[in-house]
Amino acid sequence: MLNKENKWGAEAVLLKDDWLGFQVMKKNRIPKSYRIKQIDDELRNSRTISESKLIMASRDAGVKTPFIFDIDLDSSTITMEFIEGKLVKDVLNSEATLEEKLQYVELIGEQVGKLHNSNIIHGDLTTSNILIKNRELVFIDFGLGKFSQAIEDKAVDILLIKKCFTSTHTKFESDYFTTFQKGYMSTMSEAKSIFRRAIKVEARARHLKENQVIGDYLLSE
Amino acid sequence: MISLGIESSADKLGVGIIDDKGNVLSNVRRTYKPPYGSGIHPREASEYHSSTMPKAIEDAFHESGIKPEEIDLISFTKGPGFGPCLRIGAVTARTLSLSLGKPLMAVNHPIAHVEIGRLVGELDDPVVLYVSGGNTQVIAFSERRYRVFGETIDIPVGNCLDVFGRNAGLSDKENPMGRMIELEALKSSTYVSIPYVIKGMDVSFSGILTHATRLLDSKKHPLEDIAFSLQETVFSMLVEVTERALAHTRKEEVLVCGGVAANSRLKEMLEEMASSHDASFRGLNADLALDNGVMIAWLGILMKQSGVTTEFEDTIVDQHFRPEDVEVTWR
Ligand SMILES: Nc1ncnc2c1ncn2[C@@H]1O[C@H](COP(=O)(O)OP(=O)(O)O)[C@@H](O)[C@H]1O
Ligand SMILES: [Mg+2]
Repeated sequence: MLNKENKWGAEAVLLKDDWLGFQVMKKNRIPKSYRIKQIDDELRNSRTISESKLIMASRDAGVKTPFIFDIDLDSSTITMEFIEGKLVKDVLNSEATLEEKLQYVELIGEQVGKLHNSNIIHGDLTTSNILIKNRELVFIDFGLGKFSQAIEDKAVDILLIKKCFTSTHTKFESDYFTTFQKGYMSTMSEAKSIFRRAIKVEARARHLKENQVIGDYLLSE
Repeated sequence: MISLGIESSADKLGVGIIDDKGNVLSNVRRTYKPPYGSGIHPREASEYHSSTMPKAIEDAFHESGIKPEEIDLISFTKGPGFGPCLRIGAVTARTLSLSLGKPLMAVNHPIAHVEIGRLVGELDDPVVLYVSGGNTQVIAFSERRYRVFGETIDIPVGNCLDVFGRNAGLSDKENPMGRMIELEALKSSTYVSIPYVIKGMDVSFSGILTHATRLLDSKKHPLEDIAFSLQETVFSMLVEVTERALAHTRKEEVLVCGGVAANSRLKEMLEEMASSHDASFRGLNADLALDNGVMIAWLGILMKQSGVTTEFEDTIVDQHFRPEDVEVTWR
């Protein structure tokens, strides 16, 4: 099931294909039989549309994303450029040096800062949704994303990547999150107010006091 | 080794006895019922627990045929849960430990759910959806800890359903509120749109509760339609985040536990999802899926056998005790 040509992501089937001589990835949001049709159709349709829009808008924001060739709403399929690269997740869990890994993590912070400056919320910010090609980052999987100016939405993105570092890159989680924040602050002028909100949301979600999580964040000058 | 486990983190009081082969020797469960129309008050629940405890312990010994001096380990829930309720369990456990001269083990409640599920469900390494009135978490084992891959960022799903049921005037006198909503939902197949809120692998229910309550107040839709739509929406969200965790971790088993796990529609959806990924699915019978003392006793045995000891300061309850805070030494 997880071979190269046909992989299952979290919610879609991804198929590598040829399209007018280009290598493409077809992302097909297949129907989920566990959900009733009304919910399923609505979700697949709206996520396909918003993912395409956000992929294109991100590019305008200066963040690399796959080129989109085609959108087919009947089958909820996006045909996009195939990125010949590695998942950030695999690179962070590889034998690469910590220094190199931290460079990528800082870059993630910078790019997410750019997305947020343009009011693009990724919605599923994990190291499985960022690829590395020629030492450059390419962001994918915007299906849960949206356009929003709300500090709360940006804070939730920050919490998603923080959580990903904790669950998937445990060994260096705090180095990664600190370095991510440095990158984010370098491109995102309101970074600190986003961090302050993230502290509130995290404390609420995990039933902790704010001072139990505040230490993870870069708030001092 | 034989362990007695005490569970008192929320509205349920459980005293269970299990041996190190996994034989359940007794499983006494009592439930505090709040006055009609209101939620659980921690203080009142704790008073119920403290007055019910002596008889529950007596019943557990009686049911098992085990004598107090045959117990090797006293296990109890350290957290998470309501402080006053947790403290009743902790005090009782300390007292028993002192009077019997047997060691204490303070355990994490969600991990106990997972471990009893692995035992009776004969599972090796499941992705676990833990859904109750107090908790909503997707838990899986990774790098020596049980990690929370997804969870609610506001209210637990069981709480969302309970409050909705109360707002709708349903009574939980005969059945738990979740069952009452399930019964309403079964009467309908008309879907009314309700927001679907997923953030990465996390979920949020407070906006949904507000929306569903407004639908009730608008009187434009029969209760059964709203109940159906609410159930379909929140369960779809839970199954989706469980699916995301399954895809992410590439595990091959799914387990559901907690009070909401009694809902047959939720189980049906999880089963469907698991089979589409060639994963196996297990639910548990209510006596071990809901809060109980057996699971606490069992986790105590696993911890003890792997060399964990509980110092006095470890026996202080922790309302916000997280699964990640425990290093898993037994697997
Ligand atoms: N354009 C692409 N080029 C190369 N690989 C891709 C591309 N899009 C997705 N993938 C691969 O497929 C996986 C799943 O895709 P993703 O869009 O994240 O779907 P899901 O929402 O199911 O997670 C990614 O983690 C990545 O490995
Ligand atoms: Mg993805």
